[in-house]
Amino acid sequence: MAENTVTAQNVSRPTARKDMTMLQWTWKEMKRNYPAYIMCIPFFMIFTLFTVGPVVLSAFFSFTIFNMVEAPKIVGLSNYIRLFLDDDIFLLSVKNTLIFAVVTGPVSYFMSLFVAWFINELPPKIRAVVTLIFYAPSISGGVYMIWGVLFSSDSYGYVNSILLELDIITTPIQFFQYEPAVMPLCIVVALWTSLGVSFLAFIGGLQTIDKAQFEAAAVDGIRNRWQELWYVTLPNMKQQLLFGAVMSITSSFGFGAIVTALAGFPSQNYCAHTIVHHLEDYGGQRFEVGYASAIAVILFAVMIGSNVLVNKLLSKVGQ
Amino acid sequence: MKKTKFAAMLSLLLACLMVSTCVLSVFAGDVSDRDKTAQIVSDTVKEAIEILGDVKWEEYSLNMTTPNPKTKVLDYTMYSGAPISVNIGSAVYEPGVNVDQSTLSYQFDADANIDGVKCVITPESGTVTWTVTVPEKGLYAISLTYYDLISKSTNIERTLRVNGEVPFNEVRNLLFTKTWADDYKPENFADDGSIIYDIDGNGNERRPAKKQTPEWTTIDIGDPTGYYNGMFFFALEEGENTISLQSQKEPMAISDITVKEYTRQITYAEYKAQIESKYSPAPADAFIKIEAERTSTVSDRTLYPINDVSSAITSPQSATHSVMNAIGGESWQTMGQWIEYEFTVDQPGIYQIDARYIQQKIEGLFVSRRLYIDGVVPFAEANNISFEFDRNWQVTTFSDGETAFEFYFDKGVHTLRLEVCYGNLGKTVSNLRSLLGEINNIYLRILQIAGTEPDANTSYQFYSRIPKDIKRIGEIAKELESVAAEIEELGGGASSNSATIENVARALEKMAKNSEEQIAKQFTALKSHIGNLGTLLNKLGGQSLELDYLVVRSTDNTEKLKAEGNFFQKSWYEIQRFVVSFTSDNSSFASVTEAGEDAVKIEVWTTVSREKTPLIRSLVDEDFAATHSDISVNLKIVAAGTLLPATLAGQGPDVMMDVAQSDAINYAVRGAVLDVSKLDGYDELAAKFHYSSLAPLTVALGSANGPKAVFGIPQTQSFEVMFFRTDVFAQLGITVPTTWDEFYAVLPKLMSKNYQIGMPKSLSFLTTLIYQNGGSLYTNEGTTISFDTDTTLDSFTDLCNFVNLYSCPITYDAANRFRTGEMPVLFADYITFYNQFTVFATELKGLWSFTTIPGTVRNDGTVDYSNVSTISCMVIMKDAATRGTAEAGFEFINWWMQDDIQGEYANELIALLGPAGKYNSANYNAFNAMPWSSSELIVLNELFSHLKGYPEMHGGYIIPRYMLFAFYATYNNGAVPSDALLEYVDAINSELARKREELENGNDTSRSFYIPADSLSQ
Repeated sequence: MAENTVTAQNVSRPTARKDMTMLQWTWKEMKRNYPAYIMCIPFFMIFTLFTVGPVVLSAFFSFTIFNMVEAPKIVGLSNYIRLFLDDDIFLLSVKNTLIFAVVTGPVSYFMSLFVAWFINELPPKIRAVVTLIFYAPSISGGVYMIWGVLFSSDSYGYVNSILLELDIITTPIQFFQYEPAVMPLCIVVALWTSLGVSFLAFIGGLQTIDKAQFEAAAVDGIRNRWQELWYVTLPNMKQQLLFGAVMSITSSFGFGAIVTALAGFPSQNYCAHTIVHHLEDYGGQRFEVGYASAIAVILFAVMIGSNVLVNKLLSKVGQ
Repeated sequence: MKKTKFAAMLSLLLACLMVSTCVLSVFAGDVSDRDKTAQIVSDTVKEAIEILGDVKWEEYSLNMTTPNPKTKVLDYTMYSGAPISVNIGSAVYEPGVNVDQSTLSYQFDADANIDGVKCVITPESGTVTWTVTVPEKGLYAISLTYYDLISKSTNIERTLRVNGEVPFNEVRNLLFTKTWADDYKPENFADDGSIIYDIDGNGNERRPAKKQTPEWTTIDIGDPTGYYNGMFFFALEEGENTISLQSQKEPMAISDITVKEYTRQITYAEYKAQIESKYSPAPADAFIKIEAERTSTVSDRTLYPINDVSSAITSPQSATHSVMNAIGGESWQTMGQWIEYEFTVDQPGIYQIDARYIQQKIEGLFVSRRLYIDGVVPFAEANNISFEFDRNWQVTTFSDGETAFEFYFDKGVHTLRLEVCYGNLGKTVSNLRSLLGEINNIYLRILQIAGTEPDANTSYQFYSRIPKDIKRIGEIAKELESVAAEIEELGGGASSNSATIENVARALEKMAKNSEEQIAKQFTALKSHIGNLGTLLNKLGGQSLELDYLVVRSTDNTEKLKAEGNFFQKSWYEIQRFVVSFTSDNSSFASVTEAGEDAVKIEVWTTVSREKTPLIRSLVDEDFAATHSDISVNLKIVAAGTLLPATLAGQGPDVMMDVAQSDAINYAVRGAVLDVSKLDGYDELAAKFHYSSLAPLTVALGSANGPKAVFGIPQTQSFEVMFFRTDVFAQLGITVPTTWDEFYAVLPKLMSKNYQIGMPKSLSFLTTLIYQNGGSLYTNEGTTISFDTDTTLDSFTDLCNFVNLYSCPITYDAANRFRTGEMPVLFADYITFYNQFTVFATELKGLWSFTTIPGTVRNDGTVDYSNVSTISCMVIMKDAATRGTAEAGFEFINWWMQDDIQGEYANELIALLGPAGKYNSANYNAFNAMPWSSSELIVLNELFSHLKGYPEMHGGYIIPRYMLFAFYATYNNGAVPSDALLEYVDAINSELARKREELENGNDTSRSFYIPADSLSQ
């Protein structure tokens, strides 16, 4: 700290901040902090090339017809017009995505939070084991396929076999082709695998809280654990909460792989068709990259929007 | 015995079959091929009846050598006396039913002459019979001298009949191996006699080609299945007897058949006493090393030198390149396969033999080899040379486990042959196999009573309905336990092998515990147990062994051979390999020969697996490079999705292989693929294909009658056939249906016995039904779907009814259910399932077959057997035309699809992958060169003649999607099939129209694809 102040004093400033334009001032500050910018360059190059670039590019393609083999043709807003006015399946997929997001997003978020909170109460050794158990489904990639075995459509599948044995059904249920069953099943599986990175972040957050604060709070008159959670624990881990929220929003909107793996692509009568599926359908199967880009742009916008919303909500924590 | 009862049943069944065959032939539209196929099908069922009635050698030999219980004397005595030669020229030939003699590779000739040896040529089909007169009624052994005529790369197979009957099951499929040798050119031999292998473009040694080197071989007829050692004996009557060989596969010449005294092999103790009394040990320095990859002859094309990288001291070894340094492994594991070595002994005397090997296939047990020295098994124990399991390389001296065997060699050239057999495991495995057969039969009988999912609370009356079977279950459990104990004893402890068997024994024990409920409860588990036992048998049947070298050395030579290198050798080797891994490129298979400056360079991409690519490469090097010196081919393996981005970036290939038909059209309509029909030589090439394989790639431009364009050349073709279990049909006494009417008549019979049918639910199967009913998939020249026509709606209703009315399962594990027999009829892709099942269920050999899918009887009485096929193809990218390499690319395709190259490739695949390597070339002419049996070829010929193409239009991806939606709607919600399908007509049509509008390009018709008007009539 002391050194910093010394450096700051030694720097000569010919003009005051108020004498400069915004641009001038920014430039000046950049020059002053140039080592930091140099260190950022490698990351920014990769970030621009592989993340910003594609986003911008797909925004551009969304105004074209592009079949991946020939040069794109600019068609203005027609992709968007078709998307909103002439594509029932897109609307269906928006509906499905919202259902998925609304159910799995908050539920998995709060599940992560509360499971982390409970686990945090355990002795350290047991905590490590239990953490691994809860985290395991999300690290071991395709492990949700065991649900496919459990609910196999074959009469020898576990659930079908039991139901047949108990004479509840007479023919095997095609669980992943049976419309009423597909969505709930996929949601359950999604929740099962959702205790992922955010869950770990929460555990980390919980452990960094200064114990002294709890003591102080107790002296200040906290009456129960709920108050302690709301007034001390959560405000202390706002960063982790935000991180967890972003993760769970993106994953619940980008939800698709599990449905494809379990129910096939596309799902029976599009009953579990999400925006991501719609995007894959047009981009991968129909070679309509322009249209697929338009879908991607919409998805991007929805995600940004919900992130802003969640940010607003989180700022209310502890108040 | 039960044989009489069986005979009665048999004759009854035969009568049924004959009547039904007659009925069939009335139905049949086109006479010859159809009739032949029907005949073959009924023959296979007949054969299944015979197979079911066969006794085993063990039972046969026991019956023959124990006194008759009534007369208390032996019916047959062992013959002892001089060998009796059969007059070989007296052979009588009876051609196979319906086999066109002109298609055979060799004609029957009773008076042939090969290399000055008088012999009889027996072709690959038909039966040849000899008459032999013996002085007394008795038991005789038979020996035979044969010559493996040059033909396909598969073993010769014959059924032996004595006096018209197959005496026991083991001689039903007698194997006669062929003789193959590495095809070396003079420049491959170094001065010291060792081999210099050819080098490929990456500096790696290439395995030599194999050629058949026919020779005269004399064998005593013995067990081809590897369970029993020594020769068989056969009961002959006094006076005239007939011995016949019925051809199953491949032609062969026979110069001598002798009936003779049955002799047992001498024991090692006797052998040792003989040699020790006469000879002294070889001098201590006698040491002959035989590199295992340097074979003199082998029994199979598949036995080629391989590259072992697992050990630093495998000789020779190189860390930088792949060198030929070992032999065997997976390709040397089937009963009867042998490898023979030649070596020269300078100092006569008594020797021992060592081997350096690795055996990591059969955990906790050993694999066995039968040792022949100079063509004979020297003593009985040489039948059971064991190679123990270990994850590392080992060195062993040939022994019986305790004492090392000693052999006498005189001065001169000797041969040493190792043949795959079960050795000491033979009896155990044979027991296990017959127990499995019994369990399977009991399983099917319970299935017939109680269905696939028996209810524990229902009284099925098992005890009064199948009392014998129930009693037998308990006995089998005990026998299984003793088999498990034997395996534990042989392997020196409990292993996963014995545990598998014990599990089954426990389940059976529970079932036998006098409780109906337990039978029902254990039943479902029994099915998986049957599967496990079968898998175990397959595993034990795969006696795979990898050899590095053999050493023939003096008994006094005590120098210890090393099993594995020391720490430094190993480390140095691994370090080298690690470093080299950064520089070697294994995805590019560049040409060996440097093409000239003016040669056209073309780039060919393929998506086949990396083990198959070298085959293509070596064919290119050996054949294409020789005939097309002006074209140089660069072959690359790529991942399937690479083509699109590569084309987009302008980095695509000239020729892409293995393209799905839908992709070919999708790329074509976007202008990425060249129309090959305008290229020189297209017409001659196209004539090689059945039109069904060209149909998906052929479109009319502008309108259905517009000019045609063809976007690719077919490469492989697949289609569904009807697989059936001949034994189930034989037992139930029903004929294999050839029309849907018959099929519907058979269905209730199978269902009443709780059997299931494996029906497909795919769009291609629906299209098959539509074609059979005279409809088409698309209407209006390919612009709309036919889902609103009566024909399609009827066909779809039929398809749904299989599931909804006849309770055919939608999801099922085809191979397992077909194996247990609960699904005796199965519609599946001919090549995939055939390959899978051949290796998956070896115990069912001869008990299953395939035929055309049933046909539809049209109003005029003819039967339509149309069957839809799908293809993969090779395309020329449009970029090639701008680069000027299109013609060269077409030359390559044209060469690749020629009969001989496709045949060669198919054979190489079998050499590489074994029996599961059958290849579904789209060039039907190439099938004649592949190792299919003559009856299979007839059925395939018939199948090909009915194939129809599955038309491909842009936007076609939407059709299977909505068809399945409609299909599941009928199953899940009980919707009426036609209503369910009609609901999606508009959605499909609007997608097709939208896609057409998107891709059409104004007045330019090159993007306006229509289905050619004449496509269905061809």
